[in-house]
Amino acid sequence: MRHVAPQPLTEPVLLILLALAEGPRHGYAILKDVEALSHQRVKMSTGTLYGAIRRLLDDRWITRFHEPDAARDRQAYQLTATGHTALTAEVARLKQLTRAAATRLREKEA
Amino acid sequence: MRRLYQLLLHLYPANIRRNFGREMLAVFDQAAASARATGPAAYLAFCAKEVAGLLIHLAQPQQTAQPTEELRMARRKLIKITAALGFTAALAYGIYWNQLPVTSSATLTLAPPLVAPRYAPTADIPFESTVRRLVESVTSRSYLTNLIVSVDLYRDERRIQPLEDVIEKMRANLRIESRASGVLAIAFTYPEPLPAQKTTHKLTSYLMDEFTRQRNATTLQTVAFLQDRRIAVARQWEQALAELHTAAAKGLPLDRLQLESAIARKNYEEISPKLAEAETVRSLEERRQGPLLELLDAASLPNDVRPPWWAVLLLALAGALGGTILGWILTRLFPASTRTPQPA
Repeated sequence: MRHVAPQPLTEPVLLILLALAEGPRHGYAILKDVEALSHQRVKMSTGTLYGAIRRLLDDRWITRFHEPDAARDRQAYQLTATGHTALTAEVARLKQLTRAAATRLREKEA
Repeated sequence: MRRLYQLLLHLYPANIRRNFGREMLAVFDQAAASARATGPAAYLAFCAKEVAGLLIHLAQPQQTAQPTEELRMARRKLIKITAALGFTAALAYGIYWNQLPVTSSATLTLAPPLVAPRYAPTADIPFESTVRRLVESVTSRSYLTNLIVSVDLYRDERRIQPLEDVIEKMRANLRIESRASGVLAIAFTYPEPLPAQKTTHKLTSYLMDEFTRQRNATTLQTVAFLQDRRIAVARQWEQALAELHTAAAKGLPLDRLQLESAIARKNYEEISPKLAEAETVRSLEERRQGPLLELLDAASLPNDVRPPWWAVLLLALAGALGGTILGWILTRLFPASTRTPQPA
C-alpha cells in the first residue's frame, strides 16, 4: 500500500489541538488558550471554533469530556490517541521545516 | 447582537443546532462580555468577526462527505432570505421614488404706476413691507383652510391628522420670497403635479388681488384721515381769526392772537396739498393706474418623474434577482478554512 504523507494541519486546528494537549477544555477556554498560544494574533470566532470541533469530532481526533455536574451548555473536549498522534506528527513536521529554513538562511548569510 | 447571533444560528442544519447550539451561544455570551469590557472598538470588531464566522461556516461544504440534505436546505434558506431582502429593499425604494414631491412655481412683478412720479410721488411703495403683509395674509389659517379644501389637498393626512397639523405642513411646503427690484417668487411643493400647479395659480391670483385690496384700503384711509385733519385745522384757523377780530374790536393786545392765527393758517396750508396728493393716489388706484402686482411667469406644471406601477414591480423583481445572486455567491464564495485530513 502506497504511503501517503499526511496533509499539513491548518493553524486553527493546530492551535485547538495544542490547547487540548494540556487537558480537557470547554469552548471558551479553548478560545482564550488559542489567543494566548498565538500571542493575541489569532482570535477565533465561535463559528470557526465549532466548525473545527465538529470536524475533529467526526474524524475522532477529539471526544466529548463528560463532567458529572456540568450544565448542558458547558461541554468540554479532550484529545484522543489519534488526535495526539496527529498533533505530534504535525509538530515534528514543523520542527523539521524550521530547522531546514534556519540552515538555508545561515548558508545564504555565509 | 445576541438576537442576531441566534437568528444566524437558525440557518444552520437542525442536527448542528441541536448538538452545538446552546454551547455556541454560551461561548458567544462569555466572549461578548470580555470584548465589551475591553472597549467599544473591540466589541465592534468582535461582532463583525462573529457574524462573518457564522456566515462563512454556514456556506462551507462538508469536508468528509457530500453536503447533507440539511446543509442544502440551509443554503436554500439563505438564498431565499437574501432574495426576500433584495425584493423588499427594491420595493421600498420604488415606493419612496413614487412619493417624491414636485414643485410648481410662479413669479409676480411690481409694475410701476402709469402716471409719472412727479404727479403722484407717494404712489411709490416700500416693497419689502408690502410683501411681508401679503405673506401674513396668504399663510393665514383661514385662507389656507379654504385653499386646502377647494383644491382637495392632503386628503389622506386630513383623515388622520388635526387640520392645524395639515396647515403647518402646507406652510412648510410653501415658499414666497421677494427678490431684487420688485419680483415676487411663489413655489409650492406637493406629491402630485396638477394640484401643485392649481394651488400655485390660486396663490398668485390671491396675491395680486390682495395687493390691490390693501393698496385701496390704505389710500382710502389716508384720504379719510387727511380730510378729518383738514376740517379740524380749518376750524382752529376760523376760531383764531374770530378771536383776533374780537380782540381788535375791543382794542386788546393782538400779538399772541395774530401768532396763533398765523400758525393755524400754516397748518391748514400744509394739510391741503397732502390731501390733494392722497386724493390723486386714490383716483389712480380706482382707475387701476397705480402700482400693481402683475404676473410674470404663470404657475408651472412640474414634470411627473414618478415611475408607473409596473416599473416599481420590475424594480422589486430585479431586487429579488440581485438578492438571489448575492445569496448564491455567499454560499459559494468562502473556501474551507478548517479542513482536516482524514487519519491514515
